[in-house]
Amino acid sequence: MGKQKISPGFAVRLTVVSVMGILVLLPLYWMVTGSFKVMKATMIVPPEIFPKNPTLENYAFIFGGHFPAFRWLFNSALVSVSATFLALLICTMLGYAFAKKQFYGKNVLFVLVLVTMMLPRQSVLIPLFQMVKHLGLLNTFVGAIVPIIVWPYGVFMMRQFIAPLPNELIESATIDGASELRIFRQIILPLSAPALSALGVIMFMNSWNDFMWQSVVLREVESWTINVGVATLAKNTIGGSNTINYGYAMAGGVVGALPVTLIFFALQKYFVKGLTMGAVKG
Amino acid sequence: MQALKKVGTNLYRQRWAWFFIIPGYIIFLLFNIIPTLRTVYTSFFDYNLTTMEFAGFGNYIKLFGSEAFRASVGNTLLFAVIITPLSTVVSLLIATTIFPLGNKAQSVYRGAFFLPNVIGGVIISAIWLWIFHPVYGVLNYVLSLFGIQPLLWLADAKTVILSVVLVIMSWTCGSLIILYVAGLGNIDPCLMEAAKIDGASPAQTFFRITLPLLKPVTTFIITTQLINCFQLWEVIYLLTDGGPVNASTTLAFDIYKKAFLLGDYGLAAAEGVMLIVLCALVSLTTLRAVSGKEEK
Repeated sequence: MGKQKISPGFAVRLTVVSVMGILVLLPLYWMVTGSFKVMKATMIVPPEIFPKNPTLENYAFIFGGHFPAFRWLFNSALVSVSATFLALLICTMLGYAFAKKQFYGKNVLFVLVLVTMMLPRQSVLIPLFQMVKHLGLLNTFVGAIVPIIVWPYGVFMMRQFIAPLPNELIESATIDGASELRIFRQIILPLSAPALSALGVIMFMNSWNDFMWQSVVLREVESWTINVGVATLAKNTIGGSNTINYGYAMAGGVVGALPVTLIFFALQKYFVKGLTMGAVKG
Repeated sequence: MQALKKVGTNLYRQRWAWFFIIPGYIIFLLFNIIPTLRTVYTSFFDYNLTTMEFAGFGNYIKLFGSEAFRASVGNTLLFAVIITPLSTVVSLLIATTIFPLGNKAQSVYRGAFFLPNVIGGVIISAIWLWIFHPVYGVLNYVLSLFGIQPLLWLADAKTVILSVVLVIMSWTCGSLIILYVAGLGNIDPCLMEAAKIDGASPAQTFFRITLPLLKPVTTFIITTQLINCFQLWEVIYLLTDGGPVNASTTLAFDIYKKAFLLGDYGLAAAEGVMLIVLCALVSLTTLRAVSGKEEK
């Protein structure tokens, strides 16, 4: 557009889009300011657009003893970082085998992975829950992590990414006497770095926000993730009060939103790449 | 014997392929395939915390007679039918508007719309829970400034669907906009230039060039949005618990409710099978639509 004159039609559209952009961000403003309001201030009409007597009470409450918010953050980080690394490793291994290896039942096994891409996890919730329980993984982080690391979309993307890599690279390394493990570690993994970074940020975001499964598996306050904590604060009355204290919930929300927001702004271009890998060529 | 030996040698030759496949596939079998098969299996049993007895199609009969199930199917389809086209069209409009802007401005807009998506449905829903509060929610206050009577939002069967759609729309467009902007970037600018030189109006250019070239992106978006709508769970869990009565319950949420709150595993499994069937139907239809187009 740049040098051209901006048409009135375009100006109107841009204004509308800007207003929409502000509207989707307003709830976040409401959360941040709300987190500094005492319970009374969250309930007054007309509401305070800006907190008149800002307080850190809500943060003190969720961090200081009543709730282990630090622990929740740590749990969220633990679950999503481990899930991301394990998923990248497993997806690359599977993608590599599907792209470059020959074995019995290859097509069937691959199609099976693709089919599950479309299946909502809620539909198999009970057997999945029972499986995790049988394996003794209920209330453990392993139980929250392992069921999500074979990420069908990731397997598919890695296969697509590795397939066009030249076979000569692998063959000449084999002739030079490199072991299969070495080929995987020193050729396949480094060459897959662009795909891995893009998929990694998406997997991180997905596992950080894998609320349903986390809330089903992690059942003790100490093992909750931040999202499970926020959901509990937002849905339940706490400490004998008969109304919900949205100040606590908003403080929890800020704590949970901050890490992913920072990661998003630092790694925005990887997010864009990770999202568009499957749908847009180029 | 000979054939068996050959299989043996082949398997030995394939040992490294299996080395890369087996760890992931064991996890995949344990946590994807077996639970799926068990869902189908247990759907034919009268199965709860204490008993497990074969029941034939009993669960399915019970399911089709249940008010909650019919409401779930209706609402799930309703959400899909509202959210999918609405989010697709809105995202396309936003994407085409911000695409001509410079790189910097473009990424500011993209970031603004995507941020709620990154923060996630749980936190966003928690905020809206407060915003929607009938007495001290900010939404009713803002509306009162325009002389609009306070609404119950989530507590009223008439407004609950609209409220949930509003919340979902506030975060779901972010990734779609990113997809459309990337898709627009792949269109050769020469085509637009040529159209302009030939005297095509902006509307003509949009409908004759931009839209057809964005078709693969649109197909991808529609498919993923439909599947997302079928999985609606956390918004419902946080905002409405499926209520009032069953006015906003979805299949995914009703499965959870039947399993974990009512303890009726067999019935929940039967409902799970119905959800799988629904997803399979939609996936196959879109897949056929796409591959059919490619053949032409």
